[in-house]
Amino acid sequence: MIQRIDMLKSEINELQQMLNDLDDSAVIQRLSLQGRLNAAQGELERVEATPEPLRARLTFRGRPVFGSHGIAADFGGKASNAFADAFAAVVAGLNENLQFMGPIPDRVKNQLLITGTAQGSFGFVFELPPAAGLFPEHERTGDALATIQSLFEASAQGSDDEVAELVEAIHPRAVKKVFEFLCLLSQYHALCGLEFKDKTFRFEGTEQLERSAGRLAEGNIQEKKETHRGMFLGVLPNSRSFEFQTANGVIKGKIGTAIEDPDIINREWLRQESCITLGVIQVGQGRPRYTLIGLPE
Amino acid sequence: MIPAWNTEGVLPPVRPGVAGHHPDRSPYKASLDAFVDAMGTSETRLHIIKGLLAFRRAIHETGIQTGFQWLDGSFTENVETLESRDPRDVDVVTFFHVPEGETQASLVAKCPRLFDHAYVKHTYKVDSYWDVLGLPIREQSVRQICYWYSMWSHRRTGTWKGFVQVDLDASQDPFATQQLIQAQANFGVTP
Repeated sequence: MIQRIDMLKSEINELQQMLNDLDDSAVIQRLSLQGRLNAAQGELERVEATPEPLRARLTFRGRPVFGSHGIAADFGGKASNAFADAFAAVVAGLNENLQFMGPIPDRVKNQLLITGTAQGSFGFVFELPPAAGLFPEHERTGDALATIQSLFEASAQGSDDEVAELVEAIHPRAVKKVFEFLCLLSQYHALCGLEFKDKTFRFEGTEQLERSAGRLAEGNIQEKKETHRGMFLGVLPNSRSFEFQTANGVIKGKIGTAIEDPDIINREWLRQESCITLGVIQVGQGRPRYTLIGLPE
Repeated sequence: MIPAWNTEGVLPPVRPGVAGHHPDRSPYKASLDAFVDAMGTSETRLHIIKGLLAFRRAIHETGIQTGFQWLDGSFTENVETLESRDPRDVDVVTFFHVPEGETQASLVAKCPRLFDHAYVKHTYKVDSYWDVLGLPIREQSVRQICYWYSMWSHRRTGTWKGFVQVDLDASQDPFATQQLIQAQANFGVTP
């Protein structure tokens, strides 16, 4: 996607070339092009000082799409709504404030803005909401879009473990919203492609899309809680990971956000007999992924 | 005649209702008073047009009489609706013949401020650029014309749009001035 900043750089380069090519006698033309160059450089400085909002292109192919000409209105409306739902849910999932029930947090704030139509197949250009709140570090709109794109790609082409890694980073309800979006495409015999930053992923065919949806379906993602007895071998507080020795072997996993100070485990429970509760996520036949959801009992 | 703004708030690049290959397309050739009539729709716009006419007067005073101007920018768009603001200036490329006995350098020496981009913008509300007619067509001339057309025919968003061409002939200016005075009176503005 060509951003304003790229257009300005291209224009500046063109003006510099034209200035280089001018004869010495072309005094007025030189003043003119130099004035234009100064204006373009000033504009570039202004644009660089206020970064452009992030944009993504979501394009569709298949039965409801008529080449680059148009898209069936009912499908276009439903698909953009389902995608916006998935986006808001993934943002909330990454911010770790998504619940299993109830409204999606900050649904209005995390609204995608349609700013244009995307052609070359047909779809929409979405502008992402800016990270300009009181806690911008928690507003992960760009991460959310990239996660959706990675989830499309991993579920279509990757291993169960790659899918599980993404599922673990968001919330099962957010995964369900992505699943619902893919189901809608399948129902309408449509495919999609998502272009964001320098990366593009597009589903190559119906079979791939259905396989992707199937892997994100609730039945393929097992979530449960397990209790284990054993002892902590150690905790890495910054990477928030742990190793826990049980009678059946060593469990490696992540430390959940409910535990504010992971180092407390090193100080108080290291190599002491304890009982822990783990959240377990398993995608398909992939290996289970463990998250410590509370301090030892 | 200058066509009306389309639903995208710009002049259509091809006149609506004519075939794509029809010669009636952007840049739309219009008389200066027709331009004033079509675009002088607010006090702010009339103030900018007043600057444009003064700018043309300064051009004529240097002896430059023949050529044409491409008029463009937010001034030729429905920027009041598109961006909820008034236009700030009018973008102009003046294509002109260097008068006999003059060179580009002598013209600048005669009237340096006229070719000072910042001065002209501040004084006349004109974002002014220049190109010279009557020179042999060389690769660099084609490149420059392509540049101006490409920049003048698109909004920043990439929308293809039309713009207006008026003649540099000074005989047009009294009619345009008359049109301006009439429009100012309609807005209750003292000329």
